[in-house]
Amino acid sequence: MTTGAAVVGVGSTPVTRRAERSIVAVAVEAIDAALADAGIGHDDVDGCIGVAYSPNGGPQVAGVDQVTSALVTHQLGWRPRVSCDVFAMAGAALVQAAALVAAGMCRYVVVVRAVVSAVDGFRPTSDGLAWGDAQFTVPHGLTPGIGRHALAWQRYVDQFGASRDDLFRVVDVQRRAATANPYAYWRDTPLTRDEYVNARWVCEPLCLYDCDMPVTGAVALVVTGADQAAGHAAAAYLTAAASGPEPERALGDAAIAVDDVQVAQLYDGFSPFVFHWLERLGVAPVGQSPRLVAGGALERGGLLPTNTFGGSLSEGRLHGMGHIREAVLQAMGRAGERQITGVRHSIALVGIPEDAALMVFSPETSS
Amino acid sequence: MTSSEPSPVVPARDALTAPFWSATAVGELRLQRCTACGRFAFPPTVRCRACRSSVLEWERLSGDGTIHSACTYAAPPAPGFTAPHVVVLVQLDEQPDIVLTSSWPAPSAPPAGARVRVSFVPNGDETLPVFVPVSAP
Repeated sequence: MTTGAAVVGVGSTPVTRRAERSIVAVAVEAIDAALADAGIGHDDVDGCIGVAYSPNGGPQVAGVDQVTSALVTHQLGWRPRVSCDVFAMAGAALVQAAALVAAGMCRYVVVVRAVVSAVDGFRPTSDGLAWGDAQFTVPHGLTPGIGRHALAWQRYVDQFGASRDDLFRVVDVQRRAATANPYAYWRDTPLTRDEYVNARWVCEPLCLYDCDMPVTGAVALVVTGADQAAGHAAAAYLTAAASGPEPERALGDAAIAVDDVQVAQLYDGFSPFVFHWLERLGVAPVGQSPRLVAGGALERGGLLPTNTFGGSLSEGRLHGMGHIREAVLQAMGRAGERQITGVRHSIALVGIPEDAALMVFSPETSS
Repeated sequence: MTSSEPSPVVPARDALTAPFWSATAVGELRLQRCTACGRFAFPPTVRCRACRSSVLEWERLSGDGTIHSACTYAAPPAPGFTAPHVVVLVQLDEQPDIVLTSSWPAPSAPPAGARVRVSFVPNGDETLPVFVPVSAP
C-alpha cells in the first residue's frame, strides 16, 4: 500500500530559546525555505494545513503563540483550495495533507508548524478554574504536561524495575547524536552521567534533562502526489501513515515489519516516551525496552537507530516537527553526517500515547 | 497544599460533571456506572466506554483504594501551591482500572499499593475528593 503522497520540500528555521521576533515571521521563514527546497512558488500552493496550538499553555492566540493556516494564508496572500488546522501534533496534519493530494483536491499542500517559547512560562490555568477533564486533575496540582508522564514512569519503574540509568541512556545517545544537528539547541553541549544524576528534579521521578525545553522555531513541509514527486530534486514517499489512538497500525497496513525499519524518530517530549514507543511498535515486549536500549539498540549501527537528530530533548520542543523533518531527510538521503545507510523505511512517530501519528517514509515509491 | 487546605485551582463543573460535584459536596464519591454492562466510567462520559450504552447512572463508591503511582513536584505546580507537592493516582477497589488523581497530604510520595480512603475538602464553590492514608489497624 502507499498513501499516494510524498514530501518534496523541507524548510526549517534556527531553533532559539526565546522569541526574538514575531512567531508569524518565524513561520513564514520556514515556508519560504520549504518552497525553495521544493522548487515551487507561492502561487503553486493550493492547500495549507496549520497546527494551531501552543504546547506551552499560553493564551492560544493566532499570531501570539500559535500560527493558523488562516493567518498564513492571509499574510501571504494565498488563495488555496483547502485551508484548515489540526489540533494535534504535526503528524496528523501530514496525514491530512497526504489525503488531500492523493484525492486530487490539491497539488501542493504546505504543512506548517511554528512554536514560540512563552515569555512567562507554562501555566496550567489562566483564570484559577480547571475546565473539562482538567477539573479532575489540575485542582490537585497535576499539571497537563510533566505530571502525568512522571506518574506513568513511576508506575513503569515499580512494575519493571527500570532505573535512572535507563533514562540517562536515552538522553545520552540523543545528546551525542545532536552534535551532528545544526538546529539542535544542545548541539555543542555534552551531558555526563554525573550532571544528569545531579540535575534538579522537576517532577520526581523525572529530572530537568528528562524534559525537552520550550523553544522558538518553525518547520514547513511541501506535500504533493507521488506521481508529481519525481519532478522534484528530492522526495520522501509516504508509504503508510495513520493518526489517532493506534498509529502503529500503519506498519501493518503497509505490511512492514518493524525490523524492516532502518531509522526511527520517536517523540520524546519526556525521556520515558522512547521506551513507550519502542514497546508500542513491538521492538521490545512491554517492560523489556530498557534492556534493549542498554544493549545499544538506539545507537548508529544499533538495532533501530533512533532520534538521529537528537530528539526534542536535544533540539528543543518543536512538538514532533523536528522528528518528521529528520525522518523525511533520512528517507531522502539528505541527512548529512547523520545519514543512516541503506534506508528503505524511515519512520516518525509523534504524539502522546492516546493520540499520535506514525509516518513511514521511503526513498522510492511503492505500490 | 495538603489535603486539609483548599486548592488554588477550582474545578469548573459542567453539564456532564455536575453530579460528581453535587455528590462530593455532601461527602459522597459517585461515578457513572453503565446499566447495561456494569462497568464504571471516569472521567464522566456520554457513552459507556466498554459497550457504548448511553444509560449510565451515578453510583456511590466506597472511596477505598490503593496507590497506583505517585510523583513529587520539586517546585509549585501552579501559583498558589506549595512545594514539594505530591500527586498520587488511586485505583478504586470497585474497579481497579478506574484511577483518580489526588493531591497527597505529605511531602514524600507513598509507595505503590498503599491503602487509601477518600476525604472531602471544601474548595471554592466545590468540594474536592482527596485521598488520605489509611493507618494500620
